Amino acid sequence: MWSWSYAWELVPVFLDALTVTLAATVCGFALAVAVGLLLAGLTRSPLKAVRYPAVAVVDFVRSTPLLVQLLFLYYSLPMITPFAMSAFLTGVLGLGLHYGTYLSEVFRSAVDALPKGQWEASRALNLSRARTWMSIVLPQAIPPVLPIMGNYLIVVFKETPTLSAITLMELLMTAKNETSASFRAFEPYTVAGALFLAVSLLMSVLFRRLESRLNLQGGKR
Amino acid sequence: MNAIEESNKLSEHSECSAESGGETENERRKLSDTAPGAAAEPASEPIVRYSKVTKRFGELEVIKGIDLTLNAGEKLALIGPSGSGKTTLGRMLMTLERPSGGVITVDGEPLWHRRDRKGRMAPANEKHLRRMREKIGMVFQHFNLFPHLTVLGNVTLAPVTVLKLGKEEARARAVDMLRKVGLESKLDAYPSQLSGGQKQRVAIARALVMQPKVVVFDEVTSALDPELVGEVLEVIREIAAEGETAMMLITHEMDFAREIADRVVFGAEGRIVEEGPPEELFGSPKSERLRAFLNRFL
Repeated sequence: MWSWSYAWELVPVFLDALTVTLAATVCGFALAVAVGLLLAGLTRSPLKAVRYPAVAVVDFVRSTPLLVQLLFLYYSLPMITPFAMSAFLTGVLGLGLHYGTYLSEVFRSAVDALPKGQWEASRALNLSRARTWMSIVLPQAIPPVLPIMGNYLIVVFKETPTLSAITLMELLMTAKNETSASFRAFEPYTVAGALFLAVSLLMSVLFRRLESRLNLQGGKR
Repeated sequence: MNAIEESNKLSEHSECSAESGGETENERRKLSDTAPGAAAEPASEPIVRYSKVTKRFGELEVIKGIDLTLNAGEKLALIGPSGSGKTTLGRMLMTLERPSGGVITVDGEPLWHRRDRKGRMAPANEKHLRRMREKIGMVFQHFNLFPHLTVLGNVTLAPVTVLKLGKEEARARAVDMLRKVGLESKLDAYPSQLSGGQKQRVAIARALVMQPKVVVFDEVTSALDPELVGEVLEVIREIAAEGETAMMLITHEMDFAREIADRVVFGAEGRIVEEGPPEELFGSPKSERLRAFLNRFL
């Protein structure tokens, strides 16, 4: 049955794994936001030569499983190109690309929801394209989708066990290793699950704070 | 109704054939039409010139070949029934709509075209458009203020980021402008905290702080509650009196057009039906179409 002393022993090992998991989550999510914004911008381009490839990337990445993408990036890519990446880097890239395409749709619909007059006023004031996005479009498009972004952060975090397939020592991989060493499954998987629960709850609290703060800054609309 | 339209077509037609006689004759006519008001400078090249401009939206032709000039500092009122293409004319000048045909020049330079190496007119690139837009401003029917910025933020954004003024200088200019429109006490308010009339006055300050040579006022009082129209017109009146900025006033406010315009253009169905000084146009309208239109405002 449950052994508190064994569970306690696991804590330092799992804290190391948690650090790796969080690092992959934060880096992966940051990349996903960047990729999402970039793709959202590109899919709105007036140039077909820009728009079509961007739409193709979104469709392609969304239509294949993250696990398959990770395995391809980690095992196959080095065989056909000179690029070989560490498990961590591959994981971050995979998470970033995969969830970037999902976030791009969130950003795109948020940007589409902006009244046309905002773009026209920006043009009438002769703002550059970049300035229009940075000062007018994003500050209005992002705050309403913060709750959805918060959801995706938690999804990315909970998806990190997939990275165990490419040998990254994250929480699940650590639990597996502990189980095969001690022949005890109860404590390692329970501790891993508890850590996922605790961090996910913490993330949603933090995102809710950020949301209310940004909404306050955005003026009393 | 049919008979009226028929006679209009005839009068439009005869006007067109008279105009196509020659550029120089056309120009002379335009210049002599200009009221000899203090603001108009007949000697200089017009600040805006539309030549044979057309605009189609799919199958629908909303502008059917317009020739129109606007002199430096001149106040031009565009009146006409809705659907006549007035707003499209202003939006093409603000580079919000690309003309389907013809040429618009601003300050002597083609707005939507540039000369390529062989000297032919080619579509302008964004760089050219950005340079040309420095001379043009616009105030919209629905204000289009930036809701996430304060009043001061709305008015200083373009001076800081486009004109590259220092923060202090931009602020000084903006405060100056906001004082002119009577809103120096609202610098830190957000648009949602303002009335419609106040919002539109901020929008006017935001356009004028860029010191454009011509400003399009696109039905700027149409979205306002009746009791708020006066304060906005008063602000435009004061700015018009300063005289430096040419104005294209797209409006349904006939009394206002008569009062401040140097010249009035009446358009219908994508063509100019009649143009001239306000006392002439409102006092003794020549076309049946204009008479019918004005009757509805009496």
